[in-house]
Amino acid sequence: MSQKIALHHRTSYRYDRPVLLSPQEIRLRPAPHCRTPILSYDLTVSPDFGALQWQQDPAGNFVARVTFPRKTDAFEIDVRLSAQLMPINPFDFFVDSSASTFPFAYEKKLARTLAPFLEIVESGPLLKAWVQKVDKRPRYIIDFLVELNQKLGGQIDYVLRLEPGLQTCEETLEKSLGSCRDSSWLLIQGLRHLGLAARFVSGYLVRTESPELHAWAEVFLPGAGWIGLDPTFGLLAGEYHIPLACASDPALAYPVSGSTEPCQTDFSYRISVKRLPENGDRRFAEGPMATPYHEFYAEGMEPRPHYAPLAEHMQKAGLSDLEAKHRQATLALHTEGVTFTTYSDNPDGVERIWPFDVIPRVIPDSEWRVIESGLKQRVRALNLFLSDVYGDRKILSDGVLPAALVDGAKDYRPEIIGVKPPQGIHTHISGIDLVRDESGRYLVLEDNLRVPSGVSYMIENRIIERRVLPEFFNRYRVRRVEHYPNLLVSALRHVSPRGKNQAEVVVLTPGIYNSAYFEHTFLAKEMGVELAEGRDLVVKDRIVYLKTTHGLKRVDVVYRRVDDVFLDPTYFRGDSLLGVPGIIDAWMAGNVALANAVGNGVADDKAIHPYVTEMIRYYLGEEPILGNVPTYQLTRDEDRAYVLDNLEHMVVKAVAESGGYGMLIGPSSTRAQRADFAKHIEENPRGYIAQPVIPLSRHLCYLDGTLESRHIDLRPFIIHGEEIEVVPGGLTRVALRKGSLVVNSSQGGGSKDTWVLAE
Amino acid sequence: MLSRIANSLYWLSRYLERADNTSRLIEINLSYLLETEDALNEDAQWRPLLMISGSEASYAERVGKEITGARVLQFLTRETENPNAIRTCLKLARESARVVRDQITKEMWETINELWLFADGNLKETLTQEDAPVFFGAVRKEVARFHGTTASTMMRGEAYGFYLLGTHLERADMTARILDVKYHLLLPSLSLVGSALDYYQWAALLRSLSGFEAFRRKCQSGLRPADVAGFTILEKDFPRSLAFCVDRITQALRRVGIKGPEARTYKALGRLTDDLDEISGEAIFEHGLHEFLADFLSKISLLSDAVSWDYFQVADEPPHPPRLHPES
Repeated sequence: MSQKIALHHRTSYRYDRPVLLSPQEIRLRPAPHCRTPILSYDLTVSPDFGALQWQQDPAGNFVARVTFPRKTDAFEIDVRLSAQLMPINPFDFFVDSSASTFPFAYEKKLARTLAPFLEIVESGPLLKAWVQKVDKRPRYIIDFLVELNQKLGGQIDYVLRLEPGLQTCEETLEKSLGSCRDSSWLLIQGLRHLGLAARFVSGYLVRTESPELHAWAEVFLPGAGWIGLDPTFGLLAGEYHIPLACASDPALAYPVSGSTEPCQTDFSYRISVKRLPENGDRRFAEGPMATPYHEFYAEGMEPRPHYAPLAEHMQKAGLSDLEAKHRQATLALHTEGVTFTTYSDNPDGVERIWPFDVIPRVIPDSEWRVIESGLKQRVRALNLFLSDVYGDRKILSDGVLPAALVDGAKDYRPEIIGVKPPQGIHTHISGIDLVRDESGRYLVLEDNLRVPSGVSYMIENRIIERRVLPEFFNRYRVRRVEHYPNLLVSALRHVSPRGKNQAEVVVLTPGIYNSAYFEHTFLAKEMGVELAEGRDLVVKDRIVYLKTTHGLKRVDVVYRRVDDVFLDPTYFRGDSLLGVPGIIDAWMAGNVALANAVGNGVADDKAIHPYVTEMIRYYLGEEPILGNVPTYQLTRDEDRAYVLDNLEHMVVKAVAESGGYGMLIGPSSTRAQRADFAKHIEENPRGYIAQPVIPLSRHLCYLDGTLESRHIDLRPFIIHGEEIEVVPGGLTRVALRKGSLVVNSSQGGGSKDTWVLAE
Repeated sequence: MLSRIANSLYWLSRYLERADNTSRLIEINLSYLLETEDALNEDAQWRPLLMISGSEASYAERVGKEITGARVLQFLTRETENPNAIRTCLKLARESARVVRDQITKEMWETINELWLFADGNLKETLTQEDAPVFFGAVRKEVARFHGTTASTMMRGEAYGFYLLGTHLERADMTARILDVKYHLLLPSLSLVGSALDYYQWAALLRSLSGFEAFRRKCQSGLRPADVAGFTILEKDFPRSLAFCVDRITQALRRVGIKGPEARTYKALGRLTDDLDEISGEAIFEHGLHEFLADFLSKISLLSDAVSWDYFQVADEPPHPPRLHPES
């Protein structure tokens, strides 16, 4: 019987003050002679400002050496691995005839190499007496070892001992009590007294119930190699034993070694092992333990086929090359002025260089075809939904969607019921956020149907990537994305009330302080249209005009990058200085097209999101190609109770917020934050939704001089003009903070160039 | 002014303009080939560049029959035997500048000298794929700096006239060549009008003339081939169009003084301006774009000869040989 398991081991140290840590050595990677097949392995360390280097110690163990340039008040190590457990015959070896009978002597050269493993460290009276009593009659060596191991196992009772360090053999024998470390050490010393080379092993015991960090011994037999003996259970080591580090001296095999400045340390650890379903579809079970899908690596750290050329290239070029590329890219973004503005640290806003990771994300043609058709289908349905809720409201009368949800949505605008926008198009531009679950399936996380941004960065990323990494492109056939503005301007002209051959298009921007101002200028320039602020437009007799040096010029299409509520002070917010008084009237009269249409917010409302798959069935009579991330409706008692009980495994979002604001990420939240959100949810269930934590897929990134994995998502852009079109690519956003699931650029997210491959 | 000095000023400007255009062409070609949906083979991707500079035959002779990106790059940037290679052009431009150092300002001399030193330093080896964009970007910027410096420091006298004349004569010649070659290569794809691929090829043509954004302002309804051709030939406000260049050539000749109606220059200029003044975009197409451009190029060549004859004939050096026409 074979069984896949996933192990998660978290070790954490908390210090009572920020301290400097000496370099820490971590020995938590399966040793080369591990007999259980390891399918995947991942080690992450927090804080992540440390530099991590893999090395081999003198005994050949894998060591991750972490150095910290700054003080920290916590240190955490996370190990995730998956393994294929299948029965291992512990006797599957052949002992040389020279060693098959106890006692035997190692051949001279071998003995010299084995000297450290033959060293007798303890010779107390109890140990000597114990060795004395061993039955030394010549017999088959394996029989001898099995008996000895069993005997010791029966003699020393197991005790869980958390304090560090080792008991001497005398202590263990005197108390007849010891931890796995203690009895292993006793066995090792006993074996050495009997002339057998033995070493100490630290490793995982991957039983599903009570998995642990364990210790056992190994003895060296010519012809058979190192054979594991577990005195705690009186057994030979089997498939459940995953050796991590082996050494002649237990202190050299400790999982973590290093020192700190003097302080109080609070140490804790947790190991869990769970069974994984066998079918290949869903490699990892759901829940907090699920291992995220890795875009770059398949199981066993093998690059996926579509990443193989890239991996090979990176390996050849080396990290120093990536560093040079990274600097070049940053410089290019700097001189080109590719920036965005955030207001989270400073109310006046800080203009930042667009954070760009040089390693591209690659999407094979077969995957893209699914995404593309799924997105088109979705946008078609959403557009029909908007026509319906601002028309006959059939979907509500047919009971597919509760009317209360629509009427209660913050961005539902009953004042425009009956208005038919030009060509019946509401969703001229959509940005639909996709994530991948543990099995790699693409799911829709969010629809953005109001003023989705980011498309200019998709194009800038490509321009930079091409300049900095031309050699990467040589190995692929990458599809182009730069015709996006051309598609956009055609779609905008298509909705001109005076016909597409008489279409004055403008981009309406809130102005230079808007975080996406760069994008507004970019699109206006690429489309060859005017970039206007509210004060540049005026409405007369329900017709919109542009104020030019040659008088007023009629405007047909306004690609507005201003939210509904700021669009027209006579309709929505009277205090808006960004808007154009009368523009809504002009739109309702059919004299100007607004892209996107007014009132779209009802369709991307987070509480309505779960119904989009139903909309697809209802309006199109088709099965949805792309699924939704499951959403809990907090207005439903059952859902709410479940969510409140499981807040630490949930992502809770305020329905009215976007850009990563007003969010609770359960697994990384504090008790106080959870209590706070629970209160808000109880008070206003309509104001929030919850989703299970989707462990967003991860991708290799070049960060601070090393390669690290970070969570990513994908925002493709869909244009609805005469037809619905999707540019082959999108904005891949990266959560730059280790372990973080928040990819928004306003919250410290980065980005990658996204390569859709040609067939 | 001295014929020799005038000759040097004129060729200084022409060589500089030629280096600038060649580097734009290669730069755009390199970056647009990285994403390959069109799956053209290397020959089809790079041969047009040789055709534009009229160096197919000389390439075949010096490099061989096989056309590869790396070889064309080497040939067009640093092949010493290639009179149109960027390095050769910049070298000749600087040598001309040395001859006329007293006629040009210190700032102009420094700019062109720095450009030569930079190019010479960077072209010791064949450009790598990574260095190429940086190099071409720098050439583009430095040439622009030279024009800016000239505009803001040089006296508007006869010397300035020869600078204007050389720049715009060469530019008209290059624009016509680029349009002719690219247009014919793109014609087979007319069936794809409106497709993304078509869009990229026309956009690349416009970008190699720095005319993409300007064109966009003028025509938002996609990149129709007739519009692109009309724009690059007849748009008087676009500084790389044929019409604009011919207008500046006329101004330049006025500045240096047109010698009576019997002078060769006068006649040659007349033929050139008549052509553009009286024709519409539609007429060009009816007449055939290639025929029109071939005719235009031969008139430019005539004008160039006439200028040599009228102004430089008594110079020590023989006039520079005309370049081969792309079709020959």
